[in-house]
Amino acid sequence: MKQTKTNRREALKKLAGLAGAVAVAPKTTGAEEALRRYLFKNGVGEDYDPFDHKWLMVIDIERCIGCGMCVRACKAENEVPRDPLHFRTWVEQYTIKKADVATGRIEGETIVRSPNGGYDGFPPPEVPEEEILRSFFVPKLCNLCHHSPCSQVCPVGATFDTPDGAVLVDYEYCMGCGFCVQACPYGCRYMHPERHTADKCTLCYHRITRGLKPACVEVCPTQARIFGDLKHLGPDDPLRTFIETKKAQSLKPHLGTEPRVLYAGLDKEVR
Amino acid sequence: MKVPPQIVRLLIVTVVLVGSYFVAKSLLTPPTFGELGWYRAAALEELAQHKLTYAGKQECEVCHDDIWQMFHAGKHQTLSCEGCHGPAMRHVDDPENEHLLKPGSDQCLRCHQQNPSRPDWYTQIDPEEHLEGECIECHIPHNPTEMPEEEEASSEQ
Repeated sequence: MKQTKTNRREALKKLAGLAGAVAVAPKTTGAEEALRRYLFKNGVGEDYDPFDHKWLMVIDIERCIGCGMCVRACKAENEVPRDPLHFRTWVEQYTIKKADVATGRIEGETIVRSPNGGYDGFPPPEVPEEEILRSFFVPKLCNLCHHSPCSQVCPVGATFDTPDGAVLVDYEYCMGCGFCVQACPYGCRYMHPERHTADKCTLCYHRITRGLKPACVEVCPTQARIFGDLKHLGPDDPLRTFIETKKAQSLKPHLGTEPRVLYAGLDKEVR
Repeated sequence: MKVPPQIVRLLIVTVVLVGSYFVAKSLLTPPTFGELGWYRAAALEELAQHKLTYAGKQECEVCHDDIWQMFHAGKHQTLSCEGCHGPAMRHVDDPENEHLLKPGSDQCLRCHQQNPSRPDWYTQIDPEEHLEGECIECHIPHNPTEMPEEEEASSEQ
């Protein structure tokens, strides 16, 4: 009887040891090794090192004229469907009406519209000019969250935050469940009707890795969109000037997503 | 010491279960998954291989140096060539056969039509009150404060 007890204890010890060995077994790749491995050539010049950059976009609402060139450029560059339902970036027109004096309110109704995402430009607001308190355009795109809800909900690891600050979708691996589309608090994702995967702004990853600006920044006529690399900010970098001189803020800061897309001149009505 | 048969059976079952987990994991996990994080690290490079459609402003200077000079002396210097002329990568690759758009007045009005949503500092016109005709009759698009006649006169001299 005593013999059996000892045996069971021994056997359990051995099992525990085996379980321990299994738990320790998965190999850990050193950051340095990974770094060396993920330098990649991209057509021109030097190898691109994703660990050597941190991309950031800032948008000056005071400079946006609502021409919609960014929307066009984005669709052409990234093969986004041309229909008025799918956008990686779009522009919204906000019109805040004057309040009726009798109500005692400061502001009237807020009207937001985005005909075809701004692809064809914007006609003047439907509200007569004398009734407008203020009106402005807000370009929207993926907010490049530091804590991205879309990556957190992906069940297969097909969407992820890259070391250089983009949030990308692996089209080969995405199974099209659409969780990320629902998780994005900024509505910046859609299901691609042909590819049947999630799709979103890649920050023109194929352009920024070649040393070019994203297409929307490239064509913006008023430099309302400024794009730069936090790890390589020159003394005269427009991004540095922007961060130092403007009071920039992110959309929905209470969600704790810490977006890397910042807006200057943001109105309280913008969500 | 003799291991009882029920423990042997338990061990075999455990080894088979744990082993099949690792076999399934190695078969189902794609290469490079997990090397940088919870994703396929190779996806970074794959996404970076997407083809370019917009060439970038600096490509235009290579051949159109004359327009480039005039353009950067005027108020339109912050614009991208491809904003008005459309994506240029095909033209850069094959300048003889692939040509870009010559935009009309509608392209001017896309930015300059009066709109209360536009900021006050920005130049806007009401096309009904502004002079009639095509914009390029009075403005050189590459340097919009200059008149085209002056340019023609100076080139004739």
